[in-house]
Amino acid sequence: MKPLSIALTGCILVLFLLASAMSVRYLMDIAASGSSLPMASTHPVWRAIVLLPETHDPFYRQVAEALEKNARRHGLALEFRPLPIAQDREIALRTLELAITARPGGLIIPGSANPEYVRLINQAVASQIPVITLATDSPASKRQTFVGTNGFSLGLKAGEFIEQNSADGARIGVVLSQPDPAASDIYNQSILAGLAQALKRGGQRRITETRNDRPEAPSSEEITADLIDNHPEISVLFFTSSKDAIAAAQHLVDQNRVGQVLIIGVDDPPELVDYLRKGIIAATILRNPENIGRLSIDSLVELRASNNSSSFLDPGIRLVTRSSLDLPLR
Amino acid sequence: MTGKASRHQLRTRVFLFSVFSTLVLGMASLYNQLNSKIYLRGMTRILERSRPYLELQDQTITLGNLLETYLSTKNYSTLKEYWTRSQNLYTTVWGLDRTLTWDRSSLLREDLVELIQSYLHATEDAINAKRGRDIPAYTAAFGRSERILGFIRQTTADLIQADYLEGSRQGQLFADQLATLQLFNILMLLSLMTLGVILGFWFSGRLTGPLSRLARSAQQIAEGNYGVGIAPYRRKDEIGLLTVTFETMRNAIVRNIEELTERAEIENRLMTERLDNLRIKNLLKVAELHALQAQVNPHFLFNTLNTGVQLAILEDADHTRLYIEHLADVFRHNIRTLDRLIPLSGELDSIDSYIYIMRIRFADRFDFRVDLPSPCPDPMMPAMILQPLVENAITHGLRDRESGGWVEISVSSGDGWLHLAVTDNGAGIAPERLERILAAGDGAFEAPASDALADEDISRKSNGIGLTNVISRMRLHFADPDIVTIESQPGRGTRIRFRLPLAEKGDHVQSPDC
Repeated sequence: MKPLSIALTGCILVLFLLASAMSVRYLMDIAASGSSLPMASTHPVWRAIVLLPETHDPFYRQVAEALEKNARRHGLALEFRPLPIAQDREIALRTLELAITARPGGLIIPGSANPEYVRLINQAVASQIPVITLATDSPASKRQTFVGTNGFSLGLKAGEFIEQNSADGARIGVVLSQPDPAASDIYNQSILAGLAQALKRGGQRRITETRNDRPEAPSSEEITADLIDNHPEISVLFFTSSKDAIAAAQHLVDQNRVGQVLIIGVDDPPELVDYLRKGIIAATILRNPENIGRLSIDSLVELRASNNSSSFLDPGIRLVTRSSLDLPLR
Repeated sequence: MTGKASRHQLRTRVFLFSVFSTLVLGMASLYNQLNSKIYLRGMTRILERSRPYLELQDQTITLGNLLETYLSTKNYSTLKEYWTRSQNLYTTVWGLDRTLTWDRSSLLREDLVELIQSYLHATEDAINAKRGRDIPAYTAAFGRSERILGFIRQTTADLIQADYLEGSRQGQLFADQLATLQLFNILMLLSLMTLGVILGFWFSGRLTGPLSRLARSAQQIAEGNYGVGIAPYRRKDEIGLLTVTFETMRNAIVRNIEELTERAEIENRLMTERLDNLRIKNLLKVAELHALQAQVNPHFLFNTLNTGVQLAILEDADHTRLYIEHLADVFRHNIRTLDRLIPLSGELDSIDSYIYIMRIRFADRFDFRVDLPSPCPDPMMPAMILQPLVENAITHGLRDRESGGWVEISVSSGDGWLHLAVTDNGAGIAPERLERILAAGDGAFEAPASDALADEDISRKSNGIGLTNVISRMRLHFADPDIVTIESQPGRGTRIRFRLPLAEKGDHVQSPDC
């Protein structure tokens, strides 16, 4: 055979071998995924059930991600179930009861003041199931640990910023997120108390409008549009949900009123950070969902190991403005 | 390798190539089958993952119905069946693989198992309360079991949904992997087919190439080119055997042809020699005929001349006697048999007598010179060579000269040859005629003497032996085409040279004066 023919045959042979190798590899992948489902190479040691409010608030999505990430480090598999605590209380209670009956190694749930909810938490604790409440608390229950931001501190931090960055006599609008009115009422009251405390320190600034963003209420866009359009006297808006703050910023852009209203939001989803960078949102208060997730898992692991944990863990807050954006957010 | 195995090597190669091709195709087909089987098995496992749990749910519901029946009827057989089924359910649940994994389906399965166990506890509590006639307790326990049954249904539904989603995800993953797999399979098959074509082409070329070369060689041999080379083939298979056999056959043919050619050459040479002999004999016959014609009863003439010599002695006519004696010597020489060899000295003696007669005859018209070395070699030579040449010079060369003509006979030796020359200063020979004479004299080697020249010779010679006859006899006798050369210039004369070999001592004797 001529050298050219030999080279051509060699190339085709190499191509055949490569194709065969790749084909066998893919076939083995398919065989492995088909025969040894599921595909995890390491198995979790225990499991816990996480019930999070059915909401579009990015905060809970970030909390869920943080929980999942930290749980894996401890060999803990988390089963997430939606908790329609604001939409359908019966279903929410039934979901909690189901979670308790399934006897997980731990429960991570939002808190609520609802008596039945509290009873179920107590039932779980009585059944040797550790219960952690996060974001909102059930102080009347026997839950072992609450991991969440201190509402008063949050309001105080927002008030201090408003005092420093708004004109004396400014009118302030507040939109409170209420995924669970039974639980959020206490939390929101704490926020308002902190805010009022800061505003009392000097000047004539006053909260003139307070709205609750409930799941069954009009959309956050409608609430913020109403506040901005129908209350031109309001020059400061404070939101306890990043979703509402983003909606307000977008409305200001649409109405060409950027710079006329000082917006303060919470948390740091990418859209909000983008508005913050552009100067449309003045500041955001980080509730540190990642820290909430980490502290929740650490507490659960500690409870399982020693049946002992702090009853309250504060992940901390930090106010971020456009100028401090380059610093690490958390 | 044994001879038998070697002979079947080609058949083995063809067989192995066929087996190899079949195996490769078969393996490709089997591999394709394996792909389909693994894919189907994977998809089946995905789709059937929930089935055991659906069966668990059915068993749980059946158990709930039995519980409800028992609580309402307190029938013993129902209770017995309940216990049986309850034990079966326990066994089934405990037999399940409860290895936890990170996916949602695994967690829901664990929920389901825990819920079923809780359900079994609740139903047992209800039965025990019923048997203890504790109505509030069994009512509460039954209510709890009903709630748990609801949880089981819900979790089973969640599990089916999760499995469906996971199945869809994995099915999509499978489809993606399968698409990639098919792409590689197509690439693999295409490259395999291309390799097959190349190997088939190469193998068929290897198989038929030597045969084609052999066929071309056979064609050339058929066209008479027996020296064609046969490409070497080193393998000891059927083609190798054929090549060796073919080469042997070609060598045998070449050898036979060489033998035939050699035999033909020998026969040809013999024929030539036979022809030459015939020609010599023919020439001698012609010369003898001419001589006989010239003799005209030579014995009578010879006797008459002797009588004339005696008469001249009686009359004291010495010149006449001498003349007649020379004339008798010439006649004596002329009636010699021409196929005999004589020494050069004999030929020179005869020419002396001839010259003496010619001097008497032509008086001062011509001059004759003889230039001999001393001592003069005396080789043997055919008779009647010099006299025809001198006669030719007188008859043709000097015929028209009234005076001043001369003929010179010179002899010299050198290089193993004795060189003789007959030179005249006569009319010379025209080039065309000279060419014809040499060509006619060359008849012994190329063609018979021209009849026209032979006739001419006969008509013009007094003694009937012409120049072409002399040349032919010399050439035939010595087998040397260059033994006679003629130089002639029209109007200036002619020189005829010939040479006699001196190599063999027996052929001649040394004579002090020839």
